[in-house]
Amino acid sequence: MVAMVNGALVRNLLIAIGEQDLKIRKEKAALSITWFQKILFDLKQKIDNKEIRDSLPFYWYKHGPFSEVIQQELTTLYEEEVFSQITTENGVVLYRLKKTPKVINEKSFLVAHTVLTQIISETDLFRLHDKLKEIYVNAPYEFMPNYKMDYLERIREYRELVDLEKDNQKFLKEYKERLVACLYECESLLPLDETFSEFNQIFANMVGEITTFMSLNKDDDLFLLDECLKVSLEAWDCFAKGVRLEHHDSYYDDKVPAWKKDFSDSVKRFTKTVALLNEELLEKYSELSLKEIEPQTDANTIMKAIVLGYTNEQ
Amino acid sequence: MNSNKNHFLDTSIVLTGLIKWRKEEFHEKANQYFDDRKFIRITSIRVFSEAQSVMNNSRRIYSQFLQKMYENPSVIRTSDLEGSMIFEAKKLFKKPFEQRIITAFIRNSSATIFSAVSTDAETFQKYLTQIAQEIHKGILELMIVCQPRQGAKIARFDRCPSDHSKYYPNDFQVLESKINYPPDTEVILDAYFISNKIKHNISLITLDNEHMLSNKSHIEATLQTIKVCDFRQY
Repeated sequence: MVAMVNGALVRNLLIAIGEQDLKIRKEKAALSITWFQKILFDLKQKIDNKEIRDSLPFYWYKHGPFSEVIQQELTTLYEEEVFSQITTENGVVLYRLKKTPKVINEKSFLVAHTVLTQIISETDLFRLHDKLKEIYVNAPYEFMPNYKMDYLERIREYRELVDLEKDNQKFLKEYKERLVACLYECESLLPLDETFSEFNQIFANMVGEITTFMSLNKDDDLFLLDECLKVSLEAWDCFAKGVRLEHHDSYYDDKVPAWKKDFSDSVKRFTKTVALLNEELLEKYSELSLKEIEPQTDANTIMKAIVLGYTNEQ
Repeated sequence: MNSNKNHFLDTSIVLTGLIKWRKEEFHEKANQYFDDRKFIRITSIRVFSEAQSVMNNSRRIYSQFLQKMYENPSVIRTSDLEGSMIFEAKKLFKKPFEQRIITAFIRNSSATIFSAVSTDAETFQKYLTQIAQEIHKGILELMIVCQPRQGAKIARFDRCPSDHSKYYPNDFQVLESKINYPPDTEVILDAYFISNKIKHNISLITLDNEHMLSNKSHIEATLQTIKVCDFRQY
């Protein structure tokens, strides 16, 4: 049975967050929807009250736990001019409490308000990244914090450093090595669930392409570096569509068939993107010669095992 | 083998060409074959990509397996390292391809695996890195050996149709009626497409019993310019 959502309760919780923000940050108060989502997700983890838990249905998605109910209620409050909107230079929409309508102090709300106040008092509202890191520790798969909060940040940073530190080759080389090690670690943490079976295969191919590029590129091909960054981000978007299928509250069950198709289409697009990157790399390095790689060791046990496994000659 | 000068190599042969081992067995002649100037060795971009994918996915499967063993090494029985690891691996990986890949890895390296997963995080990470680097070198070597030009050790043909069921609909259907595995049918038709392009017969060199060697007469009857050859016969 699908849980009942109490929209008024959610609106009251959103207003309470806006009030706390005003109280703490005064004229600087203004929060993105991501903040509202993460604070209320945190609240849900810390509270037993059934009505509150049922009213905050979440699924894990691209930016962590996400609730369509929260999004909808916040939009309503903006339309009712309870919140005003501020758009930052980067295009991020922030919400600031404009007026405080009379809040009905239902028992559930009173229970939540105490916990909510506690959560906000322990949170630095200027540091969303820290909150996300905290939330990702409890993500459904260990792959998620490693890929989203570590690898994706490193590759973005590396892209910036290539511009800023182009004369410091030693530093860039070391940074690149850590980036590659981080990507390999993420690969080892891919979930083994059947849902991700096809995704994992394509992800492994992506890892092969990116690490090949990283080892051959002399930090001069920004086009291909940008392509590596783009495919890395696409991998995350695609993965998030799979996570949503596996980790959502029952409130969203009727959306699963559409989500399945969305995930399947996304895996197909991801496959094409990786294939395209492969073509671009092959074109760029079509003249690759033995000088550019270190010779194979005599042992070569890993490659031997691959051939034996592939040809089924064990 | 046969008198065809032009050899089309499938994925198993391309991968075999990257390594030097098992001199005592049928691959003893692998080096000799790859150095033999009598033949022109060709493959397609599809086979090349498959070989890349096999290496990439082997790395993924090994590291996923090692990660799980590292998290819980107590599932490994010291009295039967290989058997207990294969037992665990089969619980984790359900696809036949994945099971073959992980089983071969365990059979080749069970003692090393056990030592890596029952030690500290740094040693474990070093082992993962060593594996990744060895496979990475294999991938680079493939890019060197297999290039889209005459004179390459294996000449890579990049312009085969991506979907032969549209290019050779009848042949595709006839082959598929027996082979029943579209990826290998596509590879066989790559060889056929190239033989038509270069206007010479081609020997399709393979180690694949399941779809290719077992259907040798059917493939040769359908595609007149193709001879299917067992690499073991070289």
